[in-house]
Amino acid sequence: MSEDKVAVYISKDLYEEIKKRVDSSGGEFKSVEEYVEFVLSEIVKEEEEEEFEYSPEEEEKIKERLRGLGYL
Amino acid sequence: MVSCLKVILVGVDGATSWIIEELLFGLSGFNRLAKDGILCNLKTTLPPLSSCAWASIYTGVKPSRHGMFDFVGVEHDYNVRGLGFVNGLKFPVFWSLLGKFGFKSVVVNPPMVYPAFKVNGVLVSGWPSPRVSVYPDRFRRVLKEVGYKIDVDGLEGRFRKDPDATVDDLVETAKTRGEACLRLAEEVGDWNLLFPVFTVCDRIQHFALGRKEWKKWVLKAYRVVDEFIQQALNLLKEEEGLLFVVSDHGFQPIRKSFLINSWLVKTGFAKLRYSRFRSLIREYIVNNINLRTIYWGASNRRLATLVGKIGSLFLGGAPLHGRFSVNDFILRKTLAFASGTISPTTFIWINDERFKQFAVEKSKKSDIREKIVDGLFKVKDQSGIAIVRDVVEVENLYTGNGKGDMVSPDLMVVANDGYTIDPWYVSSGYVVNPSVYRHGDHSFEGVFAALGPSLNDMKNFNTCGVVDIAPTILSLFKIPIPSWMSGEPLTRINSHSEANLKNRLKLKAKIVEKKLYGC
Repeated sequence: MSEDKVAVYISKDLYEEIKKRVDSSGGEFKSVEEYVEFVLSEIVKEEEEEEFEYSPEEEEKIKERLRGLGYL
Repeated sequence: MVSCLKVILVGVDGATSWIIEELLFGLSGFNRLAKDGILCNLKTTLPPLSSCAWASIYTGVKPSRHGMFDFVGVEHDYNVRGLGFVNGLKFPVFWSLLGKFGFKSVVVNPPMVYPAFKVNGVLVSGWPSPRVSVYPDRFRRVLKEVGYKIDVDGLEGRFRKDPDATVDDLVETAKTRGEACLRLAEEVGDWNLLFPVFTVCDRIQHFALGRKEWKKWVLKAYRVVDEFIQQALNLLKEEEGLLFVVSDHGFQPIRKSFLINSWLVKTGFAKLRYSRFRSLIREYIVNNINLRTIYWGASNRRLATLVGKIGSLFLGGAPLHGRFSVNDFILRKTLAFASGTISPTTFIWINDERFKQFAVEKSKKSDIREKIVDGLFKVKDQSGIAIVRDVVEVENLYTGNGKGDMVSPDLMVVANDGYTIDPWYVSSGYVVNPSVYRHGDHSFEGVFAALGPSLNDMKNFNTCGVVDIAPTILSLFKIPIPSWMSGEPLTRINSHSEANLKNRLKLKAKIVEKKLYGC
């Protein structure tokens, strides 16, 4: 294990289950460790979407566009 | 991820199969789609509104789940507010999912997307954005060079004054949109998805359909899209890929407008702000001077509203005719009111304890709802034809998309073909001729078309709906279909068996993430 990695323990049953998938992955994953790291890193990836609030002017402009089309 | 697959999704707001068939003689691109590919109806959402349907196209999710049931909603204090843009929805749009799997998209003018958010590729915000927003901002230069515009504003008034010039302006705006899309695609280079949305057909059909010379104007709208389709098909010549055309809803000519709030007043469910005495004077004026004739005959909404306002100056209270708001009701005596977009569907709210000036106690709510439903099915026009096709109980179904103090509507009213429902005008009559400028409105059948080198990947299907578009696109890129999507892929590709294990795991991870954080 390289120095920038730490050990995490999982149940043996889960380990065996993942190992079966690694074996049948056709080489996409070389080890249980690689599989687990891939799945967990996908889960904890940070979403980069920002919260956005419309200003009253923007809200009015949107309504104006809807009125212009005869929707409101 | 390197892939040579190219998918071009041409979004055409309001494009309709029966209209395309009528105009096919002048549309070479659509002709090719009909002859060599697939051209069929596409079922839209209930309600058949752009906000609702595009949100379903982007996410593959039904409106009851994404919550974008209209353009506007009603707050606890009766304030009518925008429901927000697709950006605020819980579900990711398909081009974001493509980006997460390494595929590059060029998306131009997707309605209800603002501001442009981070994508793998380019995103130009869509109507009704208050301004053009671009991600990444450096591509704004391309838009400036082609003279890009979001839309042509103030159409109702402009179409009245000069329909030909307005149509030409709309066509020019659409041309620049197509040009911008192709220029952006060229600059991005190795794109996988090209997704422009044209709004020109919707705009022109709203004002032209039902008029004698409708074909002259509407053909111009479809021609500009047709030219883009022909150019886009050339991009697929040497490539593996498909071109799709999808619309968010169809169109139909409108014979009559149902002024639903006027009906609620007439049947005693709502009360306008004027006294019995004033009402008598009002009735006298209406019956003898016939303001309705002035209103509809004058062919001018603004004039009608002015006439109504002058009347109300003398009589006090709410306008006699013309535009009004929910605040023109005596809210403490109003059991229910309607609000929303003028379209063949609209919403009714029971004025219960959720509102600041409520008039209905919880125990009486279901009784009132039942009486309104019964009454609506009995509404007939001057020829004795029933106006209402269906009334759907939607309480707890549409709760907005989690923004502000939105109150969920109680009933959705669906009109029969040929009718639209207008909650923004009051009149002595509640079934009236539509505005002479807006004789076309939405219908439930839009259009789906497909053509390209990968056409064999499409399966045979009898019906398809807007919720099927996102899963179809994901399946073409061998991305597993997320569990939250309501639609089915229209391809033969078995996404689960053909998608590689890493893609499946990535998606599973996204589902776990969604469960953990509710995003």
